[in-house]
Amino acid sequence: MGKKQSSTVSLRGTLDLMVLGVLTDGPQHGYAIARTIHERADEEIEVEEGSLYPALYRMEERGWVRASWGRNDNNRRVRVYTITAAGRRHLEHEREAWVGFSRAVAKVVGLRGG
Amino acid sequence: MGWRRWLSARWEERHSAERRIQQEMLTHLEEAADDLERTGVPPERARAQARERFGSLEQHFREARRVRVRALRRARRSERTHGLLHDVRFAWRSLRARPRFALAAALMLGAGIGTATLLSSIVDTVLFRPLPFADPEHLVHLRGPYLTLAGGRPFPSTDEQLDWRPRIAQAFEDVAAYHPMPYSVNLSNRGEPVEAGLTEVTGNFFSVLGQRMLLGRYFTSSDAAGDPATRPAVVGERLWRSHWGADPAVVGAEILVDGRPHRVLGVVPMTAQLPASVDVWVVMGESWDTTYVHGARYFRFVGRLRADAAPEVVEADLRGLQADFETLLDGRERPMSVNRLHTDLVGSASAPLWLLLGGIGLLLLIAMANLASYLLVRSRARHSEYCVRAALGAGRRRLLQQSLAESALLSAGGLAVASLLASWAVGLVRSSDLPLPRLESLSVDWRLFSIGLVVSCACAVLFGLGPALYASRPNVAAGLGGDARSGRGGLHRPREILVIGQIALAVVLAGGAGLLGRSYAELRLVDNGFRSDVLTFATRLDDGTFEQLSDAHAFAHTLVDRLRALPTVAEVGASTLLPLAPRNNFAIRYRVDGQPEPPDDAWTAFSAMTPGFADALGVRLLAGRDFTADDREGASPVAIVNRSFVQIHFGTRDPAAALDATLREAASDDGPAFRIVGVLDDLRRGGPDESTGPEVFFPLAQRRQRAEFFAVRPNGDPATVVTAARTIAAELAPTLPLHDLRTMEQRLHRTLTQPRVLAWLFRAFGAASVLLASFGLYAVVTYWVAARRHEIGVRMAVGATGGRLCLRLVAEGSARLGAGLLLGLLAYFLAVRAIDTSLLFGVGVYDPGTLAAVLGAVGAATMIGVAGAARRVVRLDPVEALRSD
Repeated sequence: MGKKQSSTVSLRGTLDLMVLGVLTDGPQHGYAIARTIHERADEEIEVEEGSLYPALYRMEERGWVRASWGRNDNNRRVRVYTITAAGRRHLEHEREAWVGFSRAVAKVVGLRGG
Repeated sequence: MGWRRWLSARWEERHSAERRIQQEMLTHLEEAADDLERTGVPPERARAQARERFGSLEQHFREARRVRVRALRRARRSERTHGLLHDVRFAWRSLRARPRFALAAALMLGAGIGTATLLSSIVDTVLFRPLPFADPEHLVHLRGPYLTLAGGRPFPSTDEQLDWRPRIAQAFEDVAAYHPMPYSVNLSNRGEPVEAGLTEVTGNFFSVLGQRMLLGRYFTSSDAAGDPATRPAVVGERLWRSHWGADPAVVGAEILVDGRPHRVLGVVPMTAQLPASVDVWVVMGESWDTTYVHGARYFRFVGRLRADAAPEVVEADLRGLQADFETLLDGRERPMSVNRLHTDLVGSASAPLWLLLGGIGLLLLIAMANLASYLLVRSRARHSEYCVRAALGAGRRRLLQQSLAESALLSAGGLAVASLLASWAVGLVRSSDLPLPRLESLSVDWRLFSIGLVVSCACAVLFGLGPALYASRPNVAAGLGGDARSGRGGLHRPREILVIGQIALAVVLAGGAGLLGRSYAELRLVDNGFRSDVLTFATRLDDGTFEQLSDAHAFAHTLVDRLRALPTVAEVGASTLLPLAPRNNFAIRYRVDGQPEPPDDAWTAFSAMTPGFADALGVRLLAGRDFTADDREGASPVAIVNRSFVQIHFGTRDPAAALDATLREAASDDGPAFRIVGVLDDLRRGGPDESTGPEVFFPLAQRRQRAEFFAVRPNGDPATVVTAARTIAAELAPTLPLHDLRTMEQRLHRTLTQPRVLAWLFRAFGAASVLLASFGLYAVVTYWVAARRHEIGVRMAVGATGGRLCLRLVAEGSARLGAGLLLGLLAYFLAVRAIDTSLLFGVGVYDPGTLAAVLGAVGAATMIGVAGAARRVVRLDPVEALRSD
């Protein structure tokens, strides 16, 4: 796309992005998503795990994810989230925006490379 | 769904949302604690760490709940909208599936609202809207024969100089005069001359009225007193548009009125002019004080009461003024009528308008009853459909919503039809020449329109909601059963009541039609005292063609003589008065030597005529002789009287008793005396419904009046007479046009316009109402048959013949009809008391002949409907009927 995104990439938006990114690999429930984010980010980001749930519900309302009942490894009843086609599209779009944003910040702050 | 259930459902929803969030979050914490335990952290520490990593449980929970609740609300809203859209689309489809119903219902609704709006707009404009002048409550209208202006002489000549202006000064700010009947002039500016209606007014006329101008300004007394070479003039909007093409350059333009230059100062709007049919206003004479009246011209006065007078004070002043006039004139002349300007301009229109409104109102009721009945039938048919839907789970709200959607669509259709109809009809009426005052300012009154709309839509909704309400009751099963289709059940009774009501209203309307029709017929039968095939025309007297009275007389006599010489003319004459033509209502009292004093109210009209005028008009000579050429100026003064005069003064019906008696004006003891030489039959000057009164005629040659009217009795084709008259008149006086060329029949026709139009309209109402009622009864009986097919089939199978069943149906139908007729008679007696009897002529409201005819007509017409429906029973195939349920 290449649309220039202004700095509306807020914390909320980044969280959504990360969740969607995790879900592209397959449906997961809330705790699993939190753990995957933590692992993939090489433990460099502190995300309050509780903030995941409002984000998930918002994305569900927007139609980016779909929720259904399932069982986790310990056979507990959990709500499993799956990314939708619209979610994938949004992820694509935000990825580009994110790249642009981070490049801009790097330039401003004086970093080289990516 | 009841509100309680709704509330508890909402609470449930929220509660379960909360529970789900809680569960998710708790599971999360448990899993996190388990994972930590697996890596060796002790359980207590693990749980605490997990809590820490989670963040504020309170805060996240609340935010999560907020999001969920909002999502739920949004989902509910969109479902509602989606449901509504769906219902509207469904309603549209179901209406399209039955186009005749939808069209008929919308048309009926629209016609009803549209017609009601038209009528009420007319009534509002004509009767209720205040006159478009400044402070119209304080405008007073004075009408009458009394014409004295200070220093001038009244007409006819009496020797007293009475001045009522000081009396007036107490009550009025100012008084102005005008000629109420315009006369034709030739108006030209740069091109072709055009004929226009002109009136002369005093200089202060427009100031007194507080006239609103469209362009420019009006002239005032100071303009009037100015240089006579630039006489001021004001033109009306109609002429401005047609002749000047609405060019604003008309202000300041110089125009020639009959050859005399005038300067146009402004344009008066069409909706605010007095008198209503005038095109040009000019200043009369030179000034208020010295105006001299020629011949039969006459004035009316408009006065503005002092501004500080409250309405009750105004009323008291008017009565006082009237009483003053009577005292002042002391029985010498009939006093003026003094009324509010609004009353005089509009008053005579109110009785017929109210009658018309009543008639249309009744017709509308009948039409609405038809619509209601129609809707009821439809709702009946859909009753089972609604029951099925309810059984399938449609909530009450959904059902109501669906039927509302349908009613809304119907109402929208009705609204479209109504606004089209109202606008078109109002435009039509405004440009017609119905004899209604203030017609030019008629416009659609949208307030009344919206009221009518609201009422009719309420009806549509009500009848549309019927089945939905009925079906959403708990006991739906019964509706699904045979009950719904066998014609028993509540919805039939209302239809019967509606039909009986329709028949009753039809009786009232037909009764009105009967009364008005007979009135008109009676009016046509009246002997007016003159012949209707007489050709008449008028000349204008005020134009200065004849400075000398003798010249004017010479013209009249010559024209008459030369016309008489034509082979196509049987007889011809000239006069200062013509029946059914505008007249001045001059009247004084006379007395006869040797006879008792006449009563106080023996106001006697008088006129001057040439020999042969009475004969030309076809007025019968009862005794003595007509005037001859010997009755000229200087010869002994003579007069002719009429039959009523003889009755009043001589106390006998024998006309010969009056011959050779001496006549004098009652007011003067030693005034001129006249010898009565002839007696004519009575004339109805004002039309068939005016009573005759005493009259005195004088020979034109012996009077100081100028003859304005000519009557010619043709001996064959009137057209040749017309051309001859014009030719001869043009020879004798080239600048003097002849106008108002009509036969007496045409004048009579014009005079009787109102009763004729009313009779015609009510005949239409009556016919329409009978048709509707008849159709209504037909529909009810037909439906009754269709609903009872099964039962009828059984009866036929068991041996009843078609004839007997037919008879039974006819009996049932007649029962309804009878009820309707009886109710109608009652309603008629009630309604008829509200009729202003001035609208009726020659027939009483309780006239048995009319009533019998009306009942018979309505009964017969409606019975045709019943018979038609009953016939279908005979056609019924019993086997099919049995199978039908």
